[in-house]
Amino acid sequence: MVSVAMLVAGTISAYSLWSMKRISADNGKELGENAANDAEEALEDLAVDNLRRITAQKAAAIEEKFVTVETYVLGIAAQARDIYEHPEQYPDRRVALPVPDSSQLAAQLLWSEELKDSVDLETGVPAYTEEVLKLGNLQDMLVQYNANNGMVSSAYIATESGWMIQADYIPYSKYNTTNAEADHNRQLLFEAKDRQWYKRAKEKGSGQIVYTDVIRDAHGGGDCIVCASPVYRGEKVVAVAGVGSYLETINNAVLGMDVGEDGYAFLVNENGQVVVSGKTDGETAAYAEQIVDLRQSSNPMLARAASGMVAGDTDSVEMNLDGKEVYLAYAPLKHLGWSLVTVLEEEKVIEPAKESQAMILALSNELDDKQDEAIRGVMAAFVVALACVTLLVCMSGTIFSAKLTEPICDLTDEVLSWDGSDFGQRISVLTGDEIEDLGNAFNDMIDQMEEYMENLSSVTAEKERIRTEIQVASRLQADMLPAVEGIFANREDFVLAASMAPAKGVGGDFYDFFLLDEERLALVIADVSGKGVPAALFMVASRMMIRSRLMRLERKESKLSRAVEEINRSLCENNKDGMFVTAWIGVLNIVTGEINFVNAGHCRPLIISKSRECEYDTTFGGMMLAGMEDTAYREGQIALSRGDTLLLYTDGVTEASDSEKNMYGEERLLRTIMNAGSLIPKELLQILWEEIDDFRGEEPQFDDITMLAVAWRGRGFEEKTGVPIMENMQEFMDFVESILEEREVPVKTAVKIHVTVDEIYSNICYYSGATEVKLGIRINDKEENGKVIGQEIILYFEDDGIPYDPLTKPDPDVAQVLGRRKEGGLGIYMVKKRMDKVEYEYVGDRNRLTVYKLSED
Amino acid sequence: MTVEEKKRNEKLTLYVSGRIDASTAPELEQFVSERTEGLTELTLDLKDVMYISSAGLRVLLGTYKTMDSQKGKLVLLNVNEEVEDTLYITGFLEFLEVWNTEGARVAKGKGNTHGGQEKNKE
Repeated sequence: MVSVAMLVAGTISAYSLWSMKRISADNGKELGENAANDAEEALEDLAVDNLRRITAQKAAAIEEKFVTVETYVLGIAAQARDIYEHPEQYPDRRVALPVPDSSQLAAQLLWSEELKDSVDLETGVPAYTEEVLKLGNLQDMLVQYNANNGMVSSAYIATESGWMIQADYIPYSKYNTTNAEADHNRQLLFEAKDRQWYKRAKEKGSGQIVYTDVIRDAHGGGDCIVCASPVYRGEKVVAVAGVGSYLETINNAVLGMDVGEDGYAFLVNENGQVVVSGKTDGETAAYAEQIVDLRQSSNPMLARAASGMVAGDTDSVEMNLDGKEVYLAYAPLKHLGWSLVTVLEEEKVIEPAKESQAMILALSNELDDKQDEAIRGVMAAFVVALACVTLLVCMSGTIFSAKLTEPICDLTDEVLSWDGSDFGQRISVLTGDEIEDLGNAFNDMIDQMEEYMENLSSVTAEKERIRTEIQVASRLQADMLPAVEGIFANREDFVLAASMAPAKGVGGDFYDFFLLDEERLALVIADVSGKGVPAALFMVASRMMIRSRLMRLERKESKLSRAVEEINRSLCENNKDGMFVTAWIGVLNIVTGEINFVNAGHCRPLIISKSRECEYDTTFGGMMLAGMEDTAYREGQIALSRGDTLLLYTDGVTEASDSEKNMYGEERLLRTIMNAGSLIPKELLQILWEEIDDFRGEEPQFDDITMLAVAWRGRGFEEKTGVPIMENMQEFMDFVESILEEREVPVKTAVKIHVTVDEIYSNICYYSGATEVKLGIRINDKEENGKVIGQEIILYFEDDGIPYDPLTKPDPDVAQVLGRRKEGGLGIYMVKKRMDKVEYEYVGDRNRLTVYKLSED
Repeated sequence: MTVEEKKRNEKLTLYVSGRIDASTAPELEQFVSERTEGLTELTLDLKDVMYISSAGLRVLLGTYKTMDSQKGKLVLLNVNEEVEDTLYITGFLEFLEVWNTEGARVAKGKGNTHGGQEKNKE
């Protein structure tokens, strides 16, 4: 009897336990599914949020490009104004005509039909006026801006009087215009004043900026947008400076955007029209022939969003576009009055959510297994208990059986009643035995589930967010750095290289360099505190502020420190997150090698001589930027000698650590430089990087490693151009003399150079029939086996006279008695005898005679 | 370039200073040609002449021919290293009486006599 009762009780208990297990397992699955769905929603929210944020950031990045373009335009206009105000301070400089068939970047001269009357019939060019000769000084700037920035497809200035100087890569196209029909080769007519940019800029005040609509480029034939600004002389507009950007270039910036895998971006202008689009068909493509105002769209959601865009809002919405459910985010490009719009298919957003769903389910199965284990444990305990109980029951009869099965049934009921959604519910079994353990195990499971649930949405989302943030930030950081390759490649006066190896997780280093004018090169290296997107954004802001302020640094204004103080003040104002920037900001005078700089809490730069002597700049450092609003900065000077290299770096270099936590340090850096096989900036940086990498070994890189090196070699040729008449010879002589003196060329050599200039110049005057002569002079230190053995003077003369190679002239017979001598031929003979080398070539319709001379003591 | 003159009987000395180059040579040429008639000896004191270019040599050549035709003599005084080198390279030294700044007669067929250093590339 007892044993029968026992058996019955035991069976009930076992059954209850098993059924409880099954139920809770079902609940676990359900729980997992709920979690998965919740995660999906959370992820969607997050994706939309991210899309909006990325759009805003990208809009800011594109905008920065326009700010740069605006700075260029203002820079050209300001320089032009200075030329108009102080023409006497500028030499005459001719701008060459476009070279047919050339696709080399060059400044080119064009003119309006108005000037037709003054056109020289032979040359086909109107008579050069003082205005255009002085404005010719802008040509390098125009070329530089074009070379410097992919956003610039052409940079120009056009005058009210009908001249136009334009720098672009398409000189050949100037011969393809319809105007060229009359006299196809030399009629480089261009009516700048009829162009929209000119007309609009003329309406504006000095220092103001205007943008055109999307217009068709007159020469390239592409769609472009022009940013322009007027040049005033007194009350009158005398010229307009402009920079054109092909939409294609903007397009690439927009289309190059990585908006998920299948996302795309487009630009909407102030009239609600799609200007550029990553899409070639459908509701959001850009249609040149039929421009539609999206606000009039038959798609009400799109129309509403378009109104938001035109209003300059930032938002993200869910809508149906081209028959697909999408998320659409937009942010304004304030300077243009446009909006950047990004679109992401909903399905693609949900994808990661689906993945997490699978993960959650896997997780709940795992929980299920855990529970199995718990139950198995309980069962085992139960069997032991059963054995004991059986013994007891044998003695005390059936009274026990109810007591034994009751809590198990309660537990089963409780578990059954839990619908898988109320995490607040807990099971209370207070039997003090294994059954209570089982209940607790169940409670634990719910706890865990709940935690997982919470974590899940945040973990998957957080991971996704961090990943995007890092991506965005590192792209921002990389996008921002000016390209090193190609820029300044043809310069002989300085060589520059820069590198940045970002640490994982993104630090905040950046470097920058740009020409302020023909003589000044701005150099910046900086390290922004903090990591991730806020730091990256702050970095963008810092760079932009530094760049635009330096661009406005007047030549006469020696106060770089004041500029830095202003930069600091603006950075403080825009610094809500308490970030700061250490920076070294300097301006190198390319002609003299002098550097003015401000060190705002940054690593001291290193000056490396040709013989590898290294010297740290020991001038005072200043407070970091964005720290305190009223910080005063002091300005330091470094005078580079020819061949010196300035090395700027961030603390990522000296603080790179090996596995034993030793830091790379300044001493190692100096040693590496002293043993470096090359001091050519690019190679030097490579050597340093390899050394640091080697030193670090397996240790991860904790901070960005950023370096910038400039080797200053001094001006290449200093040039002087003029009309080849004897009356002007003295000017050329004085020009040469001043350079020889400045460079302390020994008198003996200087005299020989003088004679040479005399001989060649007078020959050109008397015999060439040239209308223009250019003299170039350049003095280099001549090295042999690493030692300076003297100065090499290179001198060239270029004239547009009849082609004539004086070197073909036979030498005079110097043995002939004087009485029988004929005149002539002695001049070039003396040049040949006394210079080390004389070369003649005929290039670009010009005679070019180059002489070389190594100085004698 | 400036020229001062001192005449004793049929001997004329011209003190030239500055440089004798393409722009100043015609001036010198005129100055000299106006005074050569009847001279037995013409001395050009080049103490303050930095250098002579081929235009200057042409003046010397013309003057030499004139003096030669009237059986006169052309003498160059106080010729500096640079000028001497020019005269040497062009073969003028062979045919002229030339004195250097150290007061020494420059031997024919010899190059630079200044400090005894041979510097030109012949």
